Amino acid sequence: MKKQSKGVKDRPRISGKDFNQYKYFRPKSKKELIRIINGFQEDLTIIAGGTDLLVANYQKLYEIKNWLDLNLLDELKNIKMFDDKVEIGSMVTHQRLSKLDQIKELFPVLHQAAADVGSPQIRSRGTIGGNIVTSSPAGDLLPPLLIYDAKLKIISGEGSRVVDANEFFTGPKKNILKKGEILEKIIIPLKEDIYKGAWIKVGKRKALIISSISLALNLSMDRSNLIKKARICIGSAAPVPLRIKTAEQAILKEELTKINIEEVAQIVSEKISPIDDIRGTAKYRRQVALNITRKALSEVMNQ
Amino acid sequence: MEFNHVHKSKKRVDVYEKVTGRAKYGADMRFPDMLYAQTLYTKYPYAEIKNIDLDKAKKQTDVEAIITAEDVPNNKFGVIIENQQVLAEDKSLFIGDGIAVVAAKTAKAAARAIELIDVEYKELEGIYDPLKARKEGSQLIHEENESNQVIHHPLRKGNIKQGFLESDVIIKREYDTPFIEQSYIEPEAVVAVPYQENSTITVYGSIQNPFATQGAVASVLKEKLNKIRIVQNHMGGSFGGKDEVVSSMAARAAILALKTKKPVRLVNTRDQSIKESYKRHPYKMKYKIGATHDGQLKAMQIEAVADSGAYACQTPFVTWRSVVQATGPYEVANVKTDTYGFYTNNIYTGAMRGYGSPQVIFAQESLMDELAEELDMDPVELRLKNIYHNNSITASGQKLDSHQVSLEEVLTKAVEKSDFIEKYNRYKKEQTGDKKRGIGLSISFRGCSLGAEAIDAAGIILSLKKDGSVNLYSGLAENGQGLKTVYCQIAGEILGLDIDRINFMEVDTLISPDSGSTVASRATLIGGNAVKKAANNLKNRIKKFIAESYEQTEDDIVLKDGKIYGKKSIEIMSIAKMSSMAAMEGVCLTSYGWYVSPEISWDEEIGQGNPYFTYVYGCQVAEVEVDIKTGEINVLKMTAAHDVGRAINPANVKGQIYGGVMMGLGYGIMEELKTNQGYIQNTNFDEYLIPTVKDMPDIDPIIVENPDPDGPFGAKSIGEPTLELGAAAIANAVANAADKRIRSLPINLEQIIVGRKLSKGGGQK
Repeated sequence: MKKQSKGVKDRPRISGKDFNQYKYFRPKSKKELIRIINGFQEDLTIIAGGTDLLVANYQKLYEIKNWLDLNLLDELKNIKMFDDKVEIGSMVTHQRLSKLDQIKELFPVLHQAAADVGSPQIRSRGTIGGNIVTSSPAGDLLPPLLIYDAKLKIISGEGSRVVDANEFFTGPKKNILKKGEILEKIIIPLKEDIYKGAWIKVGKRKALIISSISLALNLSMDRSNLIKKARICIGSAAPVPLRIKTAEQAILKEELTKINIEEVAQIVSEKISPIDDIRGTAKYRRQVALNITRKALSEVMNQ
Repeated sequence: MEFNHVHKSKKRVDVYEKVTGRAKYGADMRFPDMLYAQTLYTKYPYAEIKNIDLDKAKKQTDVEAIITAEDVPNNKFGVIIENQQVLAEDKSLFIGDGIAVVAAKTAKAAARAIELIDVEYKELEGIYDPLKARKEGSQLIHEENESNQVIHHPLRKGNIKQGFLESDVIIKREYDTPFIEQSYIEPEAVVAVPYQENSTITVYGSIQNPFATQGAVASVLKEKLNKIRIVQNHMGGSFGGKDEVVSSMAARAAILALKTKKPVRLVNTRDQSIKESYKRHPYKMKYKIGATHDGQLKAMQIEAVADSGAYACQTPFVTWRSVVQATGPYEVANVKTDTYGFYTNNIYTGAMRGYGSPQVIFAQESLMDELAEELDMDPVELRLKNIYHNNSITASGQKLDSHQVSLEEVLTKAVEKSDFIEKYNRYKKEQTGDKKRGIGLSISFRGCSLGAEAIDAAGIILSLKKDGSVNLYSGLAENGQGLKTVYCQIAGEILGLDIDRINFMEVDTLISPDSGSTVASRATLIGGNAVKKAANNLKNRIKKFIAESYEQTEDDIVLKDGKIYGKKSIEIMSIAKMSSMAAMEGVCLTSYGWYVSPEISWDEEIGQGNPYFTYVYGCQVAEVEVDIKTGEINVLKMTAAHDVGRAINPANVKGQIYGGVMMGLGYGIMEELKTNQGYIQNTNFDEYLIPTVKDMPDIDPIIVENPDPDGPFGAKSIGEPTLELGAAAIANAVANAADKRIRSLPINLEQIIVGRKLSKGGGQK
């Protein structure tokens, strides 16, 4: 039996008592999940790792009425490798992403970003799906997912749909998910190309920090070593994680060593729309966007 | 000198209960029928309270009582100036002012009742800048006063005009520092129990200064001191922060407890704690310094303005320490210093580790480097030319002749150990790449203990039991700093007993001698002397008893290793056996030790006198790496040399150094409580950033020991000195690395990237 920890008796906590009049669902299979979504008409608050939800509702958890807890859904915790893609279940934790060699090898930028999330505790609880659905412009995994052209599989009572990650985010903490829709998995396509990538996260301390600004970069090269595809994405400097398509186009078909770094950096700095907040001023972010773009491009040149 | 128990890294006496979880903290206390209290805070920083409607809240199930200012017998308290409201009466003066407090059978019911209280406010335009509050004719935060000035401490020495005339180089600089939260891990917690035994109220909790809280509760309740009992629980940190805010909570809980005749528990969440508890003072400082071409300081003119927030709290004393330390440890013939505190509608400010020194040290030690640069001199050389030595005269005219002035020693040791000179010159040259390294240092002298703030005395009771074990009752309190262990070591040394034979009792105002507050890094120095006295009193009685009973002379008797030795070092018996025999013979085995510090003096009109009876000296060196493209600062290493007189417990001294360096680092590069028109913008640790373990640099502690004639076994202070130097050293290191002088704390990413590029110039005659 689990002992109750001392001294917190009066703190509102999740217990059976709190759910007498409300529901706490914990489906164990996708089938059961769909049944719940179809059968339950009231609002449901979905909990994955809980690292945002529990903090945001600290001491007022009782205000949340009906819960849908995804933590027993083992089907959402798989990482599946295919010849042409990798599928990552939405309940895969940052910790797993940051420890898996395959992820490191195939998607080094995602791997590094996962390792930079919060603290060991947050990485152990927090999930890739939670990071996506929370849709904070500062979500550390979002720029990496965008540069790898990730697709998101969304399920609901009516079936499923697959959308580009780049189409998913619509504003700060806003996305295209509709009521009754659940993010099932993330699909990242695999190509035979040679990838060169970079990840830069800038924050006010070395751990447990929300990014002031971040950058994910991925370039794929063709056989003659020209840039075949370019992806640059900036986090924390616009309402959504922002791909800088003009900058991407500017370096297409270029030889890596001949990229006009200054031009790209200027475009990035102009295209973002940062605001002043507690993590940084707009002025700072614009200047640093310029600097880290330069830095990331120089880094890939030397890879 | 050979020691058996002091000067040794003994294990902390309270470590077992803390690591096993057996230690009880304020929020762990439980009593039958205990009620849970919640405070309703004002909605606006500055507002008239037109009406408070409690009807709906009172009707809530499980709500037992609600109090407002009307229920408070004496609503204003304070250690220095009594103007802090227990609950806001006519007006709320800052965003953390309480309006009402609810006591209910459950925490949830109390929280819900809070939401049902209807308060009608008339929002008023407040003052949020001390420089505005200072202006003549500005509206008064406290209407009973003639101005918003809390205090002004002038210091005048020599002839300031003449001093600048004799200077070849004069520079003027302005510096400022932010509000800082103490960031103790345990938020404030109290439980007030009514009519326990013979006390009207007994308050348990996370209480830094039980006697200060006793005074506040007695004054608020209009009750006699001997009817108010305060019992300190284990503390999850304080750093100066659990004084007035906890007194205020204790008073609120006490009123509710008396009203309901039930125990009342009042525990803050982190958000409540940050919103309600006082902070370290932000300072705006103007420095003007003059020197000759060869680096002789001739004159210093300083103005420091502290934001006191809504209440006086500790401002008069905090700014007083600043006035003593503002020139730094340098001999300057002509000084004019003015430190001020002004009321605003910001969060009120009070004690935090450092107590008025980290601000002025940041300014003055930055200034010394700026001057060195102006004179084209290295920062060590400039300091060595001007620092205090034995018999130096300080800015307040005190001759330093009672103790070893070891500034040169700490400076030299830290400089050599950190390879400062070589690195400083190397880093000064052009560095390739985005990451630039730099090294910087700062030095300080710090007055030990209260100084002229108040009479400085402390008491200890030792009670030797019939089995040779000892109870120790102290008036000064363990706040996490290691005081219990240090006191047990001192008593053990004199009585020849292992520290596991000595039981340090929790501070309880019922028994413990009122020794003032555990502040000002005074516990080892003042309380340690009291322990020594109490132990010596007891030892003398033991010696007399043995001498009379066993035909020994007192001079031959030695207490060591739990035994008593006589002539020719022959063992007479164990202390345990002696205790039992002495008790049967009617020997008094309880002793009292009362220590009063040596005389000091202060002339408030001109800021002259001997403000402290002794000082400690320290030097810290910071080595940093600055990414000039992102602004990120990586503090690589801190070397910290501190003269502690004598380290009673060297491991504990190092612990203080590690912790103080870490807090200094936070002050230097990340901590900042942000306010906007009186509202606090970062009320939790997701946005109020303190260093994590990953931000911790390598720390090289250097313990320097010059035993002080007035210290117990020569010991002085270490708690606060460790914190006051870091920010200045880091600022100087950043300037060395990035050629950028930042005069505003914290030196964060923003300042590196978008801060004004500050010119080196400004030196003119």
